[in-house]
Amino acid sequence: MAHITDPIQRDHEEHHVIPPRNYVIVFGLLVVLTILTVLAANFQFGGLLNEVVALGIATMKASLVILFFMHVRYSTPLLRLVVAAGFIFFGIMVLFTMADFVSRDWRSTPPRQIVAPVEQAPPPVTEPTLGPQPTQAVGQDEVRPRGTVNPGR
Amino acid sequence: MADTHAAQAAASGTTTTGTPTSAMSGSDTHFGAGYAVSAGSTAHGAHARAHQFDTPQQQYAASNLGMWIFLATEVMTFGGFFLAYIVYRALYPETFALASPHQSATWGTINTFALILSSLTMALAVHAAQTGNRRRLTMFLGFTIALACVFLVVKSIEYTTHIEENLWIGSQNFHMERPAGEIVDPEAARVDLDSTVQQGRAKIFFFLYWTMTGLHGFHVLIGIVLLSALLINNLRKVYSENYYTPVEMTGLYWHFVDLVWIFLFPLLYLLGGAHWHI
Amino acid sequence: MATVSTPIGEPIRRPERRVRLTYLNNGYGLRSWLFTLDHKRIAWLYLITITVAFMVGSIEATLIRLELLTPAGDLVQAENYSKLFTMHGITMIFLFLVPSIPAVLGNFFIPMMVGARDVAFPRLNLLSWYVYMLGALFLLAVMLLGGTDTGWTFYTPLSTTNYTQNVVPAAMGILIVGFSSILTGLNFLVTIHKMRAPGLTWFKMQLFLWSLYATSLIQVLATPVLAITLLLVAVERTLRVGIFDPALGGDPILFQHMFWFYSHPAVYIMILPGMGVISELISAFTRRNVFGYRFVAASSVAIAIYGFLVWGHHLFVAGQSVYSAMVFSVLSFFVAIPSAIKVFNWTATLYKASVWLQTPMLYAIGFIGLFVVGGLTGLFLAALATDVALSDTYFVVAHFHYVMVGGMLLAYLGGLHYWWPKMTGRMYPEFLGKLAAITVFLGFNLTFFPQFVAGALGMNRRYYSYDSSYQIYNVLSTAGSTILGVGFILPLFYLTWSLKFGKLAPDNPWGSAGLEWQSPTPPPPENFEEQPVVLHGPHHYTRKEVTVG
Repeated sequence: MAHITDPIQRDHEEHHVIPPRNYVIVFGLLVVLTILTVLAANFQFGGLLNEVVALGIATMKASLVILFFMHVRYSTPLLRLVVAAGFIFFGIMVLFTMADFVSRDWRSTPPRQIVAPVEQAPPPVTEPTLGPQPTQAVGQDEVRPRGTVNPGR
Repeated sequence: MADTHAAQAAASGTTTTGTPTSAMSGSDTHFGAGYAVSAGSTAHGAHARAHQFDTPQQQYAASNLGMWIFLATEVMTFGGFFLAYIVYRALYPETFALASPHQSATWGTINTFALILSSLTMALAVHAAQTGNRRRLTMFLGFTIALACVFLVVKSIEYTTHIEENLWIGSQNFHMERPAGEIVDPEAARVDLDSTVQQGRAKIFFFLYWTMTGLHGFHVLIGIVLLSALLINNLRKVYSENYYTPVEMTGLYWHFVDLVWIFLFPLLYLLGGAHWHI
Repeated sequence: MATVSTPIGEPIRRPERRVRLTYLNNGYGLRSWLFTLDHKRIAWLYLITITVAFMVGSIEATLIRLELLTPAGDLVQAENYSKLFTMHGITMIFLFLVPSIPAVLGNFFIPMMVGARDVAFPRLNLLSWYVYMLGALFLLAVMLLGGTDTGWTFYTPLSTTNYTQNVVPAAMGILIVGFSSILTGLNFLVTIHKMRAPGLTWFKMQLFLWSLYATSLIQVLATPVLAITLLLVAVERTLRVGIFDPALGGDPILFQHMFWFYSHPAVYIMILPGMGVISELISAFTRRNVFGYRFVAASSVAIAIYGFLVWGHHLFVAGQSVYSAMVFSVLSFFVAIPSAIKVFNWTATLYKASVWLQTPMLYAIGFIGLFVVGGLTGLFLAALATDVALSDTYFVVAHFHYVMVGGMLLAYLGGLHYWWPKMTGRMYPEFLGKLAAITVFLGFNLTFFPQFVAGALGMNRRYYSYDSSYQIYNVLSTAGSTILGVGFILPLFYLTWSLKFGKLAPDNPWGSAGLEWQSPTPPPPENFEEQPVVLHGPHHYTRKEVTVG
């Protein structure tokens, strides 16, 4: 019955024995990246670059852990798909939610005035928009209308 | 009943599909259209195989896939928190920049090292299990548990400090002071931190801080329980180079706990600049 | 591979035994059921508990309908009315619809359809039932405490204010039930991936397996987000923090994003399994493979994944960005494609087929009609402009009841009748079955079709009183719900009756080609007496008619 595909045999997975030396090398890289991320934290890159650098290093560290410590580099395509699925669906969630938050005030907000001194900040001018608006927070130090995302400082 | 079977079997005999029925029919027992019975495939494999599996390999593959799917759900679990963090950080970057220096980079860095070192010892523990070295497995599991405990101890020191600084979100007198030192955010200087609005935003940061680290700490605690169970089982000589799936699965879980911390550390501790205090 | 050789065309003769060992006589007593690891017995545990949940939810629905018979608040007042519709929603969605087909029919038949002895993780399977029970106890406690009144959606900031009651235990109950759903989904995914019999490749799998695979994907990937969302609400309410409270800098729309990131895909948890059952029924009662099998199979997975991209259509009037709403609106329209693929392929299967109108098939045909109505009215709600007018009216209520009751519940009942002989070894009374199926169909339409009209005319949902001009539709609806109730009570009685007094069922009363029918009735503890090997595609029938045994 050799021609009958046996799903069990097809999906056969092996245990991968990786020499301990490789683990130590990966650990070394993780240490270096940790030091790098701490050093980079006190440096003003400008714009969103601080976040990009911090998350970039974190992603590199995470990839090292996933690929080597968790053996994904040596595993079946199915397992890689499962790993990817978790992150892809998280990405979808963030992407669409943020799409709402960044585009919410395109119609109603005049050009942003971040530089306006705190005490004299004028009440935000808003045109009426569709649907109910979230209640405005009461306070004197509104730097800008809430709901506006700060694109690069 | 018998009629049905006969009809079904007759049906399978008259098929014209490309499947190899007719070729097979001499040697296989048909029951129903298109199914055959093969005897002998239920031969019992080695030890520790649950009855629903055919082979230990199948059982291992199932456990491995199950564990990874579980980790995918964990990604989504923490993902909910990360989404909230991203949204509020985008809305209130200056408040968040003022809030994160309240986390000590000293303790954070120590804990990061503790966790990545424990990941290394866990990987080495799995290697020891793969090579059937019980003594080394005991040793590395012990190291991992010890480092996990170090993490929790440091975390509780941090929590205590936060509670003393009125940063516990359930507290009536929650109040976030302006942190000492330079804030890596040009807008932070302009913020009037004593206003109710800013305190509300600070409270959102600390809400995320407490819940995210709390859930992560809970995972570390579960990890300690699992690792201890492995340690006890290993002392009872349960694992060998032929059977160590639980060690490997717990290993995956433990690396995931490390993974979450790798993201929590920069987001909660560093994004206003690394502030070294105890 | 060693094989048993029997002349072709002759049925298998099982070894003669006075009493054959089946999963039903494999141990008696409460212990053997409550601590069983057999997926078939766990399915029964679920069947009993979700039936109880369904009855509780139905009583709540009955009270709602009675209150709405007259425009004034005669039976209950505003506060209790809010509690009634909230508890109706929570009970029906989390305790009945989400576990219904997956946890009962899926649990029973997935291992049999893949030709396995059990699910991949039997202990996890039992655990998920206990977790479900724990969550159900929380929700029961909420009911005894007087219920919660936020709506099943727990929208903030209402749910974090003092005006509402028992929010924390309700949220915890749903969180726990959610974990049960995750464990079930995980188990099914691994079972379908790793436990398939030799020869059972992906495109030889029955369509029920495909749809439950897709369902499990959603359960695993979306449910954790619901858990976190409800956890945040509970913490916010307990500690008075303002993560979703605009007065404290939070954003209530973030709650809606997170909630619907789960709950929109969850809508597909509540319809995909039904679609799988219908594919099985149509195939079995027309003696054909489902037309366009590969497309129907792939469309299940497509719906599951695509369902993650459209949640924003629940936020059209909530204050979401207009641009975001436009994108979500366009994306929502595209869900119609995989759904339509299924409907067209089912009807193409029926075309010129000799349809055998047994009870399950009546449910299947009813499903197609009602699902089409439910699906098409969804397009009105996906369109931005019409949604502004229709949002929060009875049009929405009618729309999702057409999908969930007209779709999922009919499929569940159809599937239950179809597999009842296999599950119990007894036939249900066919005449009563048909009578009930027709009663349910008529009662359902009379209940919910007038709600479309009332909603289109502007009647708001979630109010205990209404303008008297809407009364005629509400009277019709309440009358319909009485008929619907009769249609539900009938199966409850005759199915219970048939457990003891029903005709003994043959192994395969429908002459179905499904792998689950190839085992003896009722199945032995390990499902098959020998390991099956799959040689054919699914739903493999020839033109030759098969008569009932």
